[in-house]
Amino acid sequence: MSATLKRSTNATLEVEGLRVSFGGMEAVRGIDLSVERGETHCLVGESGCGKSASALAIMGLLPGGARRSVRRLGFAGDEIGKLSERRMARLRGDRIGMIFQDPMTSLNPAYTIGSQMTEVLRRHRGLARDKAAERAVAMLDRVGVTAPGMRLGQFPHQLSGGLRQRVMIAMALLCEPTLLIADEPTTALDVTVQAQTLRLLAELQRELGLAVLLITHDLGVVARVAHRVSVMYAGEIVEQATTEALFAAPTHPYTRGLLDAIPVPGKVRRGDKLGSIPGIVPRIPAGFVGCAFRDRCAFAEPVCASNIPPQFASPDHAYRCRMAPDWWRATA
Amino acid sequence: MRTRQIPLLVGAVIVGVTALVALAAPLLVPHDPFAQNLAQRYISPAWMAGGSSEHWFGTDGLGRDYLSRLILGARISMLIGVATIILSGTIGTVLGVLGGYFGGKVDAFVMFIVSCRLAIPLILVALTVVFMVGSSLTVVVLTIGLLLWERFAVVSRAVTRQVCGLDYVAAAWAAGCSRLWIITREVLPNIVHHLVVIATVDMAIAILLEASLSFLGLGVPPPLPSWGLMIAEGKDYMYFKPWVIEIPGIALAVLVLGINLLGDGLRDSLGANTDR
Amino acid sequence: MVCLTVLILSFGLSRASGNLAISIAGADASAEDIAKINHELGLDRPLPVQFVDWANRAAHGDFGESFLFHEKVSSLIEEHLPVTITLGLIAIAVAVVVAVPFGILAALYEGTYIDVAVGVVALAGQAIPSFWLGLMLILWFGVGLQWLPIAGLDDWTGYILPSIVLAFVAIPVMLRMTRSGMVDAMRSDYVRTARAKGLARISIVAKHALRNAAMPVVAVSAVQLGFILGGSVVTEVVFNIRGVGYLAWESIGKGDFPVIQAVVLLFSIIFVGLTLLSDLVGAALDPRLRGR
Repeated sequence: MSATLKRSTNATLEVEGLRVSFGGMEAVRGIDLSVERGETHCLVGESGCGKSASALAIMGLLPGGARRSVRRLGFAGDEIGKLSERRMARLRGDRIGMIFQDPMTSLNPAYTIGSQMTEVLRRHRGLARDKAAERAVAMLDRVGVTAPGMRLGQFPHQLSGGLRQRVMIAMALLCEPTLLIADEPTTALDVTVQAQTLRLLAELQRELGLAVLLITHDLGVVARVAHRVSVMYAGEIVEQATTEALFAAPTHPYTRGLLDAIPVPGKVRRGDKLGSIPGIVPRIPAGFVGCAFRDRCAFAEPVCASNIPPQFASPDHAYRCRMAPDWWRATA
Repeated sequence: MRTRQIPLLVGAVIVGVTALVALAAPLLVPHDPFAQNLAQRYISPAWMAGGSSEHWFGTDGLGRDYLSRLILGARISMLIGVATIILSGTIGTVLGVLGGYFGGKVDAFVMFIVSCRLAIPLILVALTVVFMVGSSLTVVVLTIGLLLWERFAVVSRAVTRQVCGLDYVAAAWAAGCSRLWIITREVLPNIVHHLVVIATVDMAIAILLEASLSFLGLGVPPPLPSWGLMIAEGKDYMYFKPWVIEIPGIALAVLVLGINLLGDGLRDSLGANTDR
Repeated sequence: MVCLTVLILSFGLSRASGNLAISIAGADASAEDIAKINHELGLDRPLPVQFVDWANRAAHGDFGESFLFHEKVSSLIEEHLPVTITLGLIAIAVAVVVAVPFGILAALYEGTYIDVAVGVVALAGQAIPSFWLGLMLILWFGVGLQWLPIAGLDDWTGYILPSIVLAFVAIPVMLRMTRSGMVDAMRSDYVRTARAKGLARISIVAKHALRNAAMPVVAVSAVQLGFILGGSVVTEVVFNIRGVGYLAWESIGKGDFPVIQAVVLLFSIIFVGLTLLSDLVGAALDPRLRGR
């Protein structure tokens, strides 16, 4: 959201005006966000809303055929938006770690855990094989992998899904990065393993003072770990606030729709209808103007087809809708 | 016109033109392809020194018009290609569909004969059979057709298994349709596009195999002008007149290339993935 | 199992062909001569007896005596096999050396003109009949440029053209496999992870992508070697090389069935062996299949 909440300028990650397009379609349409040291910033939205594309774009890992443009991409005070692929590769895995959704396919089936972990240290720290292995064992131990020494000699297929994701986390943290980008890190895991993994991430973050950008579609995850939330819809951030502010006063009709779709114990009784949002996320062509949610929105009016400036519900809570900040109190 | 359709178009044009030439061969030949004239041996093609517009592609070692023989050769190649894939396609598809549909022992048996077939050295066995039975066009077609069915079998088996796992086959089964009905009405229509692609691959292989057999002297018998045989007949003279092997060789390569382009294009546009 | 069937088949192949004795003794031989030859060759016994006898001896490496060369078939094959095997091994090496790098190149430049060019070359390679390619190479390099011998294997230069022709059979298949394997690997999640780890491009391509793309290619090269050997007859005839393929061709032309039987059986067994080897290599390279 342009003219977003002004925040301290020493944020670990600062993104302004990030755009990603595939062919004629815009997957990300000018988003702004920042993540501070020790903070977890959740980027939440339905699948196809552009949240993964945003994460990959920040990392410089977009697939071929995708185009990125960004007004400002600040990392720890440096502008990294214009770095060459070679210099960017030096940052990745060293000062910026990333973990992915599916730990089954994200590890290379042909190499041992040890080989895949130590190569990070050998690349960025120039460590010898045995030193690197020592560090890898210590990190596996730190993320709660049992028998870490033995794991180095194992192949990914010999590990459970939860263990593999721990390995991925350990691998991302080997070089003690300042920023961790996690793209749906718990989606592919069993529910109990999800909870453990989230707890581990929260612990590690506190301990290492990490800035975490966490991509998820799961508002339960957001409620549990996020400090700040950006709600994304069709390539735009439609609402951005602290977690407390967002859950206390969700203001954008889309955010409200998302929250209504979640059963809340105690509030929703058996037989009650859960909220739902009709339709699907539209594909947005380049040059689209106005609110992308208007076709699915119960409150849409002709004015929604023009450019909607962001509004503030509170100093820490911005949203992009024509409605007044407390409109929902009247309807609720 | 999208660029990725160009190969399909080129292939279709090559195959189409060759098919037309093959069909209309008796009308197109400028001379009798079998008429010998020992006084006019190895006349060069029209574009070379010593050539004339009387014989555009020159004459062979017996003074026969090369263009006429080439045209008739197209007929032989297309005939071999089409006839063998009809034969091998029938054998392979029946085996594959049976194996894929019934599974279990039937499937094990089908896979067993497929692996037996794969273990047989194709050219050697074809040569031996043609030698024993005696070479004729029919024998060559039968031999190649009876040997080249394994690709049809493997693919139709795999696709049949896949199709049988789909809901609409289960629905037909639940609705009380007979096996024959399910196979002919539900399974076959869904594997046809895969079979078309395999047909092009095998047609190309059959044509090359016939050329190889004829080149080795145990394929189409002379004086029929198979392109492979034309190369074999020109072989001894190629040091002096390279065009006697160049012309039929290029014809063969262009036809096979056309069939392969057509097959690749069809695979892309029909969405049949037959890579194994 | 497969071997046994091929055994029966290669036996049946030769016995199905009317009267052998006539083809040996000549059409104008007397009935007495024919009976005598039939008896000498054991051809007057019931077929199953002949088969069991033949199979039993074949299992011990005894394929009887050639009708034509009056030499033991096993020693004929021993004499001709090394050349064929050597050529086959050189050819498969050439095929790997050509197909793998160009397959990688096409995959890394997927959708560009490089990719299209490699694809066209592969298609053209599939379309060119190998005997014709052999003749054309003889014309260009043997006759035109006079760099290489036009026939025979008198020294190492004689191996060059035949191995190229034999390799041509396997190159398009292996090229396509390498390319599609690399394309899949470069799009895979684990390569994205490798990039997210900041690894150098060379290590991403050579370590992470290639290893996975190469596994099926290496495995399939054993099967391709089988096809190359099976197709050696054409190349050996073109280049006048006295290998097993040439021996078989000569024998077929003369109806020398003990030799044909033996060669067909030999190629089949080699093919089955290579298929087995291919499975084993595939399993050894893939940690997921190892140790099962």
